[in-house]
Amino acid sequence: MSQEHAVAKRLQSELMNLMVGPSPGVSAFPEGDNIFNWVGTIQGAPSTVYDNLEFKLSLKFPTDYPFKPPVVKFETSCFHPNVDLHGNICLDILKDKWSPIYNVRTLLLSIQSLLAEPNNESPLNSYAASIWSNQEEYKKVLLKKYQEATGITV
Amino acid sequence: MTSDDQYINNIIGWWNDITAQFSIPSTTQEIVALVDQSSFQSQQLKIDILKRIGCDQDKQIILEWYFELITCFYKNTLANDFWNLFKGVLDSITIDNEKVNKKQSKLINQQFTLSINFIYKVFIYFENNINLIYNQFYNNNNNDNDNNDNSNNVEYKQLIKKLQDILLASLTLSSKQTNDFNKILYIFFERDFISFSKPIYFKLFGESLEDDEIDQEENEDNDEQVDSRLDDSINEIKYKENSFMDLCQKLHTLNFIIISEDIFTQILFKKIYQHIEKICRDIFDKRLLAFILDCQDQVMFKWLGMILCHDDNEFYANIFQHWKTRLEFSIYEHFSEQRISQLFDMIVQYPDSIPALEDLSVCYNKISIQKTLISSLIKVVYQRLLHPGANTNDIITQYISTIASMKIIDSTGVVLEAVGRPIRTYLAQREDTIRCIVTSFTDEESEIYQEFSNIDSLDIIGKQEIKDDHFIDDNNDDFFDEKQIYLWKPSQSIIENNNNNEKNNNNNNLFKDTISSLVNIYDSPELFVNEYRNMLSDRLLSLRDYNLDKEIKNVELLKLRFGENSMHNCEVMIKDISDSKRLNTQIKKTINDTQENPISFETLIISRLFWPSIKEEEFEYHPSIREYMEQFSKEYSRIKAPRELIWKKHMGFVDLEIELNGKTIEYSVSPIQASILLYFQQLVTISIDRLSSLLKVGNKDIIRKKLVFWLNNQVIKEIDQDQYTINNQEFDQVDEDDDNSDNSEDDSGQDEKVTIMEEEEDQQESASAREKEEQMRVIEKFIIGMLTNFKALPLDRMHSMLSMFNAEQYTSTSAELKSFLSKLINEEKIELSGLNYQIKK
Repeated sequence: MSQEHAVAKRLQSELMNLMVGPSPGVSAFPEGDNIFNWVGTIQGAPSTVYDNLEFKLSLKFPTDYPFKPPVVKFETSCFHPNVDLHGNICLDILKDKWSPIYNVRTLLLSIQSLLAEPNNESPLNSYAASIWSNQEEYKKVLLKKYQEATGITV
Repeated sequence: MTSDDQYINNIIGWWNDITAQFSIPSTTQEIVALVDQSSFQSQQLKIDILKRIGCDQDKQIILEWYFELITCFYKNTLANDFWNLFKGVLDSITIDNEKVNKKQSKLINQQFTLSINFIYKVFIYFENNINLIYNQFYNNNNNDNDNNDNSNNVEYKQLIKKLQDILLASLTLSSKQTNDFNKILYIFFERDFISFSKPIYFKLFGESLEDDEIDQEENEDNDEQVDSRLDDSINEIKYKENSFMDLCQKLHTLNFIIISEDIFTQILFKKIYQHIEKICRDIFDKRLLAFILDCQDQVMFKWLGMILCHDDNEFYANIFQHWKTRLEFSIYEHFSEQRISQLFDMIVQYPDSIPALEDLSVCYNKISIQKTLISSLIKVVYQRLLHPGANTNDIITQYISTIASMKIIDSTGVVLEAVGRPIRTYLAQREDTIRCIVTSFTDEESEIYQEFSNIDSLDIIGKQEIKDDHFIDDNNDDFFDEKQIYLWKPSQSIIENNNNNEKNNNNNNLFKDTISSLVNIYDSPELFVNEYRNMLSDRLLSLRDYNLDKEIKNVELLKLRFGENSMHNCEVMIKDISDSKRLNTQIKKTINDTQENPISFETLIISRLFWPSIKEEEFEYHPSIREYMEQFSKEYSRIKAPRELIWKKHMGFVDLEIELNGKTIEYSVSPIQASILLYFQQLVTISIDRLSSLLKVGNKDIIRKKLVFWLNNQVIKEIDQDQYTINNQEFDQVDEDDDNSDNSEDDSGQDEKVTIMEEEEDQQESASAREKEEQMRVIEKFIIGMLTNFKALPLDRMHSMLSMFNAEQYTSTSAELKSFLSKLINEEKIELSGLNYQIKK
């Protein structure tokens, strides 16, 4: 109980930091009345193929956070070599490379940079990985998929 | 002739004898005359004849027949005689009407006395006859002396009772007559009570409690001086008492007393109420309850005793006891009612009203008035105190008095809790409450300050609450004394009890001392500490010497109350000031060694983290000062490396001596105004635009506002649109004629000294308001964050999310949030679509 309380406190202060000093392109807020479940928003970084695209994510924090990483998934379908069709993300710091010094902000920024710099060695979406080299075609497919998923034409 | 005929003849003969013997005189006067004869008691009816009637049935018939006769007489003769006395007197009178015409009441009194006298005689007459008949029938061996023995006989008693009932019934045949009869009794008893009680009250109070009309009337009667009447009054009272008791005796015999019970009740209750009203109204500085009880004892019970205890009759003695209890209760009731109706005023006059409050406390413990007291006081408090027209300071003072007063009335705190709550809630809503309280803490003239500085009365709640955990301090013996735990009783209250232990402690604390009860208005003492910090900041920043003694003392006292840690910031602030003093001296020495400087320049160096946020206002000083400031900064960095100075340029003040047109005037102004004037000294004529670029202030309105001060003081004048120059002319002629200006009082050319501290409107924006603004900026960021992640949200959802995730800073109500959101909409940051708010794209 007290541990859960401590985690809630930590999340609260992370929220405060995130709100008071926002980073461009990333944001997150607890969903509903549970501070352990957050909704995140990432905007594709400018001058990348993901420019102008906005993705929603879900962040579920374990009760032993920050010693264990949160479970992060894309809620908006994301066409990306390291994101599967269910939104699962293949990112080392979400798995074995997680460290308690990371926080919501750094996590979101990492995912934002992952969008522009995929790790094509171990793709979850091999089709995306295969056309990554052809950025023009990649962008075409990406926008089509994005439009299918969100109804927004960019 | 048969034996039957003989029997019938006999009966007829007896009958004629009987009717002859028992014939009732035809008028009341005759009976009265008969009774008045001295021989009446020994008079014997020649009723030997009755002895001849042996059969019980016949005796019964004879008695019934005789009662029939009496009834007829009562109805036809006596009742008429009685009502004739009151003809035309009663119609215009109603008892509900407070004022019965004195003449009428006097008349009724006389007539009533008269009528009772003859009714009594008639009654005696019949009683006597019945007695005789009864003796003849049932007590054959009697002699004259045994007459009275009948009074213990149940059968005889019933006969007498019947006689009484017939009398009353005959007098009050119609409902109008019943009414009138009650009226007569009422007026009679009331009048008697007044004339009985008046001399006693007069003795007790030295003044009459009744209206003076009777006095006058009696003066007319007796044609006496008031003084001589007083001397005679004892005999007079005796006489009156005797005649009254005599009359009561008669009323008893007629059995009229019992039926008058309602009437006494009315009269006595009315009198009790009137007397209490008269004695107590607006008098709070004397104990009155015991006095009232005592004088009611002397007056009412004595009077009642005169009516009821005519002899050692046990029945009436019981009734009297019963009455006494009832009246006593009624006195308590009326008394507390009266006191409660003025409770608010009593609280206002606290501590002068302590005696009255103590009286009320006696009532509170005796009869159940808790509910009335609470509801009535709360009602008055809402009506008279908790409205926008009341000064916060007054509300606080009244709140303090309420606490003290309720403490007297009810030591359990139940009443206080109920009454204090609405005041607390209201005070908590007012913005300036904290400021008022903190000001009164530290105002050396206020009463609270006395208590505040009196460390002995200090309790430990402050510390305890600051600690913020429920750690039991060893010193808190009196709180956690075992004995006290066992002595604890549930409050016998209509109020929901706080089963929360901490709350109960707070209840006790309310009693402990005034300051803690004020602090308890808010959930945490932090608010007070913050407010004090803001006040201290204002005071320290406007300090002209470095005299910190008072502030140090206050902080020490507050430390005792709120705990060591809470005052940490304030201590640093005070230390900043004294450090500044040293540093100034040190740095000035160095600078003066290297350079000749015409300006006396003092710097306050404050540690930003420990002070309340200070408003920013950017501008550039005049180069001559800037130069000095840079030197100071450099020197500071040298001494205090690696620390550096960040100048709050708009803070502080400048003493200027202005020589203009041969006059010297001293001003004390803000730095920006001094800078403006320095530029005028240098350039003489300047436009707003130029000033704006020199001062590096973009907003020209601010500069205009500052210039107004110099324009008003006629140091600078406007020569053209936005062009200003130094006013070299003499002060305006108009002004010189006008004697109301201090400046123009004498023209001798002597230097005039005027110190004008310019009031900055911006400054009025209090520190707490600034803090609030800062909080709302954070809230704005939260709102944007929420809307970024959730696209669109309705108001209540946002309100609940803010309350949940930013509880520390978010204190607004949902209505306040709504207006804040409207502000954001106006700033085009967000927009409203339907019921949902969303980010403006």
